[in-house]
Amino acid sequence: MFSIAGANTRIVTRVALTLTLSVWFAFGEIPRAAADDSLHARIDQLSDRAAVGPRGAIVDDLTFLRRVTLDLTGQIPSIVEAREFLADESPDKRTRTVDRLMSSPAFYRHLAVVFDVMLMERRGDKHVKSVEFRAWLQDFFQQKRPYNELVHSLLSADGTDEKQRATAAFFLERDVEPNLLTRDLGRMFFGIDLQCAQCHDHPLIDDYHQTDYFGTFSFVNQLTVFQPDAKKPALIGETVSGQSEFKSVFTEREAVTSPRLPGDVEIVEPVFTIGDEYTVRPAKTVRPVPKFSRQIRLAELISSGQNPLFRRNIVNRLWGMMMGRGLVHPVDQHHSENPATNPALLDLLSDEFARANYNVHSLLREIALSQTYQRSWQLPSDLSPSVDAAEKVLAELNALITSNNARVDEKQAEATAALEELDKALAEARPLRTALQKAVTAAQAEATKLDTATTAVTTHQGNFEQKNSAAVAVRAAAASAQAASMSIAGDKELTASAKLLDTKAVKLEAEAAKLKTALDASIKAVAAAEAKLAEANKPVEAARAALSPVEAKVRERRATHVALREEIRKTREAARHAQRRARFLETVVKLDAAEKSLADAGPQLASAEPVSKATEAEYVAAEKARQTSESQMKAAASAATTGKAELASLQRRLNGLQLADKSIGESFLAASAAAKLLSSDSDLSQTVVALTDAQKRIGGDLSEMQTLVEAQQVVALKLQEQLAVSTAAFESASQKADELKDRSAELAATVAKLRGQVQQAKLTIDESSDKVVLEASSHFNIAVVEPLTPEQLGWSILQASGQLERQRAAELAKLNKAKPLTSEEQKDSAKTAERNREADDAMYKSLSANVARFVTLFGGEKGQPQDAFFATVEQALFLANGGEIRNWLAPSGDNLTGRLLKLEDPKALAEELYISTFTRQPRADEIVEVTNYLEQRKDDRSAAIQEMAWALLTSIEFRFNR
Amino acid sequence: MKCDYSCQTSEHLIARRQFLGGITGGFVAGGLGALTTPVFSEQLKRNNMRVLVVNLAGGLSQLESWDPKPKTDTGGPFRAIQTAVPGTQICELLPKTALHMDKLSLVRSINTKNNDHGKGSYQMTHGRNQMPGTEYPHLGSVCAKALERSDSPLPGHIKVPGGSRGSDAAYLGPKYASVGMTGKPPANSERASNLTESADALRNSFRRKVNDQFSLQRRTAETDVYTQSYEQALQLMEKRDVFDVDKEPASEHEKYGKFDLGKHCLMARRLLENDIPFVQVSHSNYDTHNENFNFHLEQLGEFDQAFSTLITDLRERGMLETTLVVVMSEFGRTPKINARYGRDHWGSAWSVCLGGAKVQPGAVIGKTNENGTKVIDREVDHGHLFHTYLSAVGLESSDSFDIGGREQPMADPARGPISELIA
Repeated sequence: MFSIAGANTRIVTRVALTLTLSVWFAFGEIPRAAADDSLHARIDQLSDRAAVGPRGAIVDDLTFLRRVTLDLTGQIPSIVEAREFLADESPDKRTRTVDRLMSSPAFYRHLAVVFDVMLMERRGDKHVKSVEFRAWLQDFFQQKRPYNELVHSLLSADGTDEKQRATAAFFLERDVEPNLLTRDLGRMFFGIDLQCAQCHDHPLIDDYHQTDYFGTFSFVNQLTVFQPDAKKPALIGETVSGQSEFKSVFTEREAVTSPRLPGDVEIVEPVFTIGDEYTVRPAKTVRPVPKFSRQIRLAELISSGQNPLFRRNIVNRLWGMMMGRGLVHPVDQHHSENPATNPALLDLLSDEFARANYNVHSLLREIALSQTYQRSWQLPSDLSPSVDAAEKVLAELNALITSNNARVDEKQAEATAALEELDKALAEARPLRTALQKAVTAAQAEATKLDTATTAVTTHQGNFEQKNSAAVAVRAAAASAQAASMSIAGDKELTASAKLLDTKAVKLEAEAAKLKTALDASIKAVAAAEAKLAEANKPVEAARAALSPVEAKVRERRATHVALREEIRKTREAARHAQRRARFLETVVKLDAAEKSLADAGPQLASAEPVSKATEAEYVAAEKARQTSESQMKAAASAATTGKAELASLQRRLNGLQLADKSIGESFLAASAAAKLLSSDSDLSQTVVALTDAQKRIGGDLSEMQTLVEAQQVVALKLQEQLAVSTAAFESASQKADELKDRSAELAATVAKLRGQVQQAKLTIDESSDKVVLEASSHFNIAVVEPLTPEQLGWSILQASGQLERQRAAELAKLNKAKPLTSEEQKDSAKTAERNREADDAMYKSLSANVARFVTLFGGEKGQPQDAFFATVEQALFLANGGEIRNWLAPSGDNLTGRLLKLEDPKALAEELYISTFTRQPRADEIVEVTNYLEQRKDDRSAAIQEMAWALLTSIEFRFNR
Repeated sequence: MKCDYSCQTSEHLIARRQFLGGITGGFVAGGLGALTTPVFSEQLKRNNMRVLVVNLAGGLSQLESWDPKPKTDTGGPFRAIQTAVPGTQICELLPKTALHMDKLSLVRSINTKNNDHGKGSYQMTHGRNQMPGTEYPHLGSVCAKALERSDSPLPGHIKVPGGSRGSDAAYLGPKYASVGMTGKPPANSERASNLTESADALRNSFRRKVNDQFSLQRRTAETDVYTQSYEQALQLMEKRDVFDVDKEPASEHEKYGKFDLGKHCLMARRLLENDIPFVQVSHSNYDTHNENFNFHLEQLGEFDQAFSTLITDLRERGMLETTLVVVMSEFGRTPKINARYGRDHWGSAWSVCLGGAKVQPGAVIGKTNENGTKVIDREVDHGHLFHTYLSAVGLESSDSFDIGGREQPMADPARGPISELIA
């Protein structure tokens, strides 16, 4: 019942939109974009080229303003901004607005939030404060520094630079846990989630391999949190480490890998003799510094931008920030089964972003200026159908799918063979690696001994120097005492002192000499340890020399294998992309057919239904008439029969009378003749008389009867005639009824058929329109309707309710009171602008706690992707009953409800309300609703205003960005 | 190569349809609670399912409970007693529970290869080993999501006792994180004093009208879920009493026992009756390195009364068929008795008791050797148990969730359920 009602709602929608579908498909050659075309123009060209299905129109001004303000500054525009934008009649006002927004402090704050949430997923405050990380990001973007520098800063940080402490957040807030880092390096910088490839190749995604996991893992496995003193800030320490070994829990395949980025080749590390790998060797309270840092290499490799996955990942995320959804979605699921909805566009953005030196601002600006960004969220109503092209396009797509699938199979076989070759080389390397490892371990033990010996030298050196300087000092004292005793001969005390000092000096000198011996011994020990280490390094070198060519072979074969996999990935990606578009196109065709079928059958049904009904009614009436005439006919028949029977009975009686009459006549004649002959016979004559009487009597009866019979004959005839008439009537009614029965059945069948067709069409529309809307928005044919982030929601509610403006004014007043501007300064626009910026900053700080409340309620779990939407009862309760919202909506001064209260005219009030909250003019029906509400609640106008404002702030239209 | 053990799920699609139907229903009828939605029968069955976990924190001794070994070197002083299932004996410390063993089952062959509290607790409630860098959702969060009642305003994952909302839902999101029961109704569940009920109704109907207008133009699963949350909030405001255990008569409190566990079990029954999919009650502390026998005597006395009363009530109210009951710990205790008459941490051979829902009643799975030092038959671990719990409430435990386009297996793909335990 309800779901049918749901379906109806949908139908009404579609009819209201009078949707017609179009399939645009420009395959073949379109003139390539001229190199000097702006990036936004080229974005649109590629969008046009790949477009399938219906596309939205360019949005109206206010919708554009709301969208771009939310996307660039994280809040909705104020009513002042909205009114100014409406009043602006210049043709380039959209471009100017984008530039105005991008130079506002709100833009940098928002960008910092976006990157913080993207990179940290609401982690923070363990070692580096979130606010500090955000401040660093904001500052970074304000300096317009490029994205790859940002990545380099984050990945190369070791926490030692006090001024750049925030950059250590990426590692430290993940506790430098290598598995977590491996996963998040993959997700944040390459758009791939290798988590499931830790214990085996990914069970669901063909492109994610265990070897990729351990390639990245090897870059970070040797990193640790270094914090010997809990009172001092944590640092990142690095030790020297070998290759990573791994084994699949499914296939039991064992392998090793050196550090390697996804899709890339293994790095070749510089070789150091054992004992010489560190600038600062590890010790208990010393942060080790290796001569070759894998962390630094990782930072360099990633930020060089050479890896295509790196470029695709970031532009996809920035695209998602603006468009509400990545070209690849989810943003950390780049793989061939999940192709970009427009791979050519993703490539263009990647290349151009690199060419423009990873400039985030210009990429965001170009996206905002594109028509693709400015498309409506509503399906269009004025496109002409051109599904005709679909067949040809589908054929082409299907051919591509088939050939690419075949190619994938072919390459898959090659990849399997390449993997076998790689495994052979790995097997060859295994004993050599073991031998090397053994030699390395032995040498490392010697290096450790050398460390101990070196430490001993330092200790001995210290001890000797201390003792020696004491001895020297005492010897000097003894010498001067001796000199004194010589000059004052005979002074016993002095002589005794001199002797005592001399003894002491001798003792100390002996001790110092001993320590010197120990020191010399320890220096020798170092030399010996050095020699031993050098000796121990020989087998290491030999083992390395043996392993080196095999390792080169491993690297080469791994590179071959990875290259084949990359080729497979690309081929499969193209196939899946074609598949996706084909499915979309099919759905569009299906929807179009259903629309047409509905458009065709709907009116037919509408006109056929009453005719059918009328015919049915006619038939029912005719059937009734048939029955009536039948019963009339039957009555006439029975009357005719009765009349006939009566006539027959009378006739029979008449016949009897005639017979009697005849007999009496004959007997009279005979009697009369006899009486003539026997005239004297009195009896006979009496009889004749009697017979005469009888004759007379019967004659009377007879004539009476004859009259009766004649009358009855008339009656019977009439009845017969009536019967004939009613029989004819019946036959005609019957014929009519039969005819109507057939016609009615025929019409009913037609109606049933049409009804079926309509129902089927509605069902198909219901099913495929959802899909078409989803695909159309995934392909950016229409805008994605996406939920606001917790921050966007918080700031937008503050903006709409007027709280933001109030706070800004209060902060400005506070500043002006504390540090008044001189009248000269007040005329200086730079000074006033500076003052306004200060007020804006203060406003942001003081309202941040309120927004934090939204983050707690509307944000995802710490360390989890933050893009999954959820709505909870707690959120609704907070917005419905929470003190915050109620306070913000209480009329006060020039806040939203305060302004509304002052507006007497309901239309003006509705306008103020809708522009403040939805950034659009109210429609006529909405003005009526507002007027009615005010009327209904005229007992409490203030309450009515707060209630309506609350209703709009808690509605879908406010919660979602369109 | 792709493995086929994890199949695609259409959960979100079903939920979507359900919402579409439900919400239209709500609007058409114009009232609340009018969300009667036609659902698939399989889902209907599943929708009635609930899970109750009784967590005996610290590590219950299997020898003093589900797997007694009297008269052996490890057995301790207590006897084994007969239960309602001929041939199945449990420790004499559980006389009342023994009478219910025909409704419950035992798994006596658990080896989790772990003796650490934190790791063991994680294993048993997440069905996997803790992995650095990876977070998995708690059993309660999995149940709250997979058994979600789209028409219920109440939270799906409750811990008794507990504080604020936990962060144990991992990728399932905060909606499914545990809510600690404080005995007080949730925050903001009361209408502001200066907002009358009729004014609230008016503003909400205005909100619905505004939403209806938008939905005519664009309607998605997300917009539906959003509007639905307000209707649920209004329903919850009507149901604040559910969380107040003092609304239960004194006789009920008496029956369950006037100690914390008694009160908590009664609270659990009240919550389960209100169709909350997952409730976890905790009882501590069973970490008996000293005086193991005295402690178990004392603790299990409370447990036996409260737990057996709960089972009786669930049975009498016809809820046992739809409620999975699991009594678990993070591990068991050593067969070896230490010098302080204690038993230490032991994950190598221990037991769990479970029953209700689709669990085969009266069964005993697996076996330990004569003095309980080793599993000798049907060894299982936390991964198998986790799959079994999900299977017991009608879920396909090899299914995956679709979380914002990312597939996440419901349970460890390398394990499966103890299928002979599922009826």
